[in-house]
Amino acid sequence: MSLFRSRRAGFSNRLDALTALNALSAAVGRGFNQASAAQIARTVIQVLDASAVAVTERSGVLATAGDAVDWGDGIDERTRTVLERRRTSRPTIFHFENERQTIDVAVAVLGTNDDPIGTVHVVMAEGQSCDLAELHQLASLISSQLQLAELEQSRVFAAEAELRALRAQVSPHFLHNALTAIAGLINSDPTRARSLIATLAEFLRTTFREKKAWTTVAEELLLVDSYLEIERARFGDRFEVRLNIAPEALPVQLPFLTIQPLVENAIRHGLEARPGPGQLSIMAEDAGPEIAIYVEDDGVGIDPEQLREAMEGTGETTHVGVLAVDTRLRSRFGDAYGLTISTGANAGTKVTLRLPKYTPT
Amino acid sequence: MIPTIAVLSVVAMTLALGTLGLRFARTTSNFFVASRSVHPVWNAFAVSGEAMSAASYLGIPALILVFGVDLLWALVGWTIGFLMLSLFMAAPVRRFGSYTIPEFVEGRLEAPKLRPVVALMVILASWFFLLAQLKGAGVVVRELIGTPYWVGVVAVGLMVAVNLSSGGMRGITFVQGFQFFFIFLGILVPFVVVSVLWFQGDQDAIVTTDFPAFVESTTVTYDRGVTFDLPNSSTVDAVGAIDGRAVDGSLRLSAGRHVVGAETIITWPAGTAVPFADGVQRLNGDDWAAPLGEKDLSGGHPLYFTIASLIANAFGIMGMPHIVVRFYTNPTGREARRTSLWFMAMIVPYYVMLPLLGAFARVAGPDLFGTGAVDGATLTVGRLFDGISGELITAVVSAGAAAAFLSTSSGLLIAMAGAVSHDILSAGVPQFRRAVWAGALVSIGTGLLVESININSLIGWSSSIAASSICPLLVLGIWWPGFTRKGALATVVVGGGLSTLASVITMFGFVSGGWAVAILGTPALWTVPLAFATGIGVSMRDTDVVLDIGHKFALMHLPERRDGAVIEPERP
Repeated sequence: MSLFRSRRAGFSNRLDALTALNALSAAVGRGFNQASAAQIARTVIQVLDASAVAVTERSGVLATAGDAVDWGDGIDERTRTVLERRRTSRPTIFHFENERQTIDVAVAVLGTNDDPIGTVHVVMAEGQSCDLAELHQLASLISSQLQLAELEQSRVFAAEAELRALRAQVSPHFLHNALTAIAGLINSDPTRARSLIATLAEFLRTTFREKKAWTTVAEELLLVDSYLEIERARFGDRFEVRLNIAPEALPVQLPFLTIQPLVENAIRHGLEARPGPGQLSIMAEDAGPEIAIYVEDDGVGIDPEQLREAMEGTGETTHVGVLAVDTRLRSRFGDAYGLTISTGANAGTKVTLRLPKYTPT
Repeated sequence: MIPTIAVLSVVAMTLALGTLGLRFARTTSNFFVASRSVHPVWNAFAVSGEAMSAASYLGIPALILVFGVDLLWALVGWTIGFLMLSLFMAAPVRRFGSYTIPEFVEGRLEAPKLRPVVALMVILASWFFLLAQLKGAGVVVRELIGTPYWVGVVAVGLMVAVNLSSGGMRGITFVQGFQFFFIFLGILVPFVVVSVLWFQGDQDAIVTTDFPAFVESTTVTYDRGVTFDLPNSSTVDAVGAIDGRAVDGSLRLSAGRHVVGAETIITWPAGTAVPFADGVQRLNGDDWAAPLGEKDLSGGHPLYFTIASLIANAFGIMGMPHIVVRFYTNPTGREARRTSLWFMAMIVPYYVMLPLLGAFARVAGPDLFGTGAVDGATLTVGRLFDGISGELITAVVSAGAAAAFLSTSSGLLIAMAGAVSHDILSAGVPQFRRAVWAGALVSIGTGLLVESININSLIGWSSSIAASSICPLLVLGIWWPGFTRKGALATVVVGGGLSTLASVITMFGFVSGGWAVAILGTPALWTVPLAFATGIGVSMRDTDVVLDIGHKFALMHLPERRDGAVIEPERP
């Protein structure tokens, strides 16, 4: 069990080295923070057989590992020096002493030439010296992993931004339709019109509340309800809604605005184009450690080829909402939790999403 | 006939509600109705259905029948366990949001590598517990229809697997809630009717203070070959083989040991002191009604047994994976606590009435001493009544037993399959179904081998494993910020490893008597303290700390807002 591997054992074989690097890239994949810095420090100790390592960000120490070393005030100074010089091409050795100890510290920069985000400080055991070439290679490896993580992060931000843009873009359209429908009701059914306006206000308030990233299935269903209430004002009885919700699914956490865009897609691209009345069904099922949610309509369906190309990123589609939900689910829960869409021209559409009952925060 | 119909209708109801449950539960076009969470009381019904297992329903009366009042402590142990679960675990685990125990350990300790290790403990504990349920199924079906033992095991194992893998868990909270009513009625009805009999003054017909004897002429079928000890000589009618000779007709059996062949049928005359099979201790009424003494518990150490099983039951319940997950259906920690309060109000009366069925069985089913099939004790209470009323009571009791092993088997199989598919392999619904089948087939296969092992031994092993591995992980993880990865691993290796080892050694019969049986057969007395001590000791010496521990503790222990949203504490 690697948990108990001696810190100073070094590598017995290449497998250990690869395992350590693999653990490193997994940790760094979630960005540069305390946890990944701790993993970086542990890996550097293992790979270089160092006695102590400190990982810093611009403003101070993030994590240390190995033997207790009094890093002192000098560490901030060294970090500053290295970062200001931007000498990422080569690690530097600093001679560092105070009343208790005299040590040599090798310092390498993490991040890119243009954008250094931190440093790694290495102290070797008594009598050994740090191989600067090795440290350099290791620091570059970590840096490229950090860049990858940043890329992944921006992919998530892009999906978020896309969804927000979608909201902003759709809203005028949706608002116009909703307001026209309500205007038609004001004289004939003022009570209904008033309650619709209240529902619309509530829907808009909830939708634009951006602070809260997570919600529960139960709350998301209520949001879908107010959305459908407004759509019904326009469509009247043109579609029927069926719900099949296992109570076990209700407390499950999911990203805010996951089910609603799917329902909106079913109405705008499935049922709206369909001649005659249609049916929309929303189902949630318990499946042990996960739940499955289905949003199904018997509308006009989607051309599967076109959809596949769009989902692989090689084609264009009007179903941007569904794609954004797919991207968000994949980035939150992993690729295994992407949407499954079964559809065909004039065969309706069934979107299936799976959610784990527990997501670590 | 009536009891068989009753059992079949419980089975049919389970299948029907499981598959159609969703439609029954929340099919509506009203979002407000659909998004209303399960009421804490109904969820308490479901928790009760899950918790009232064949282990208690059949196992406790069986042990009471043989050993008497000592076994009341087992129920006290479970009650303590449920109380501690309610007070210390239900709400924090719910607030943390984890569904399975391995998930909790991974999330709390930031240790993905520990997850499969903990999952293994979950599988082991569930597996022994499931074996006890299948054993119960085999016994009930055999008592009712007279089929061989394996029929019940295979039928119930397959049924639960088919049900779960074909979407039968859609309405599991509702199904288990309904099953609770059957289980509770199965105990309440005999309790009430026998109480009426008692207060009518017919007390001798219900309990005996002497050595048990056949009250009336009784025909007993010895399915398995058995060696028994007959206290007094008796003239019997027998068909089959006795002492190696084929017999067919009247026969005088001398006092002493006799070997009875399989499928032998003996008709005992009224008044005969019942024979006791090997391994079933013969206690007179006074010894039976007094605690401790010379009882053959834990190899002749009843005091050790009492304390060790008290610990195993109390801590084991806190670590049983299928109980903790049921609180997930509550939307908040507060609701989880409310559920657990209602649940206590349901399980305590059940535990109060349950042991009486074992006491009644001393009069109602004395033949069980001779056949050794004491796990059928609960089902004999109907024999105290003649004719149709007796059959109706047996029907109610049998239906309760069926509900007990069905609900608990489903819960355990879900826990096992979840651990395999979700915590060890990658997640996915097809994966979960395959895991259900794998778990069911392995359990059926091993279930066929445990015919001669008492339900309570199986439960004891399961509880010891859960009490020495899962329980300390949860308790220390929830209540002690200093608990670390290495501490957790050491807890599982030491507590889980030793208790599993002890159980396996006992199961294969490597120990035969005295203190070895006590120490290895009921290991919780030493493995539980050892597991806690190891976890604490290793964590204190460990310099690694779990990052973000303040955040995690705030998540577990601070109340949520009224709408269920967690007040997010500032991250450092």
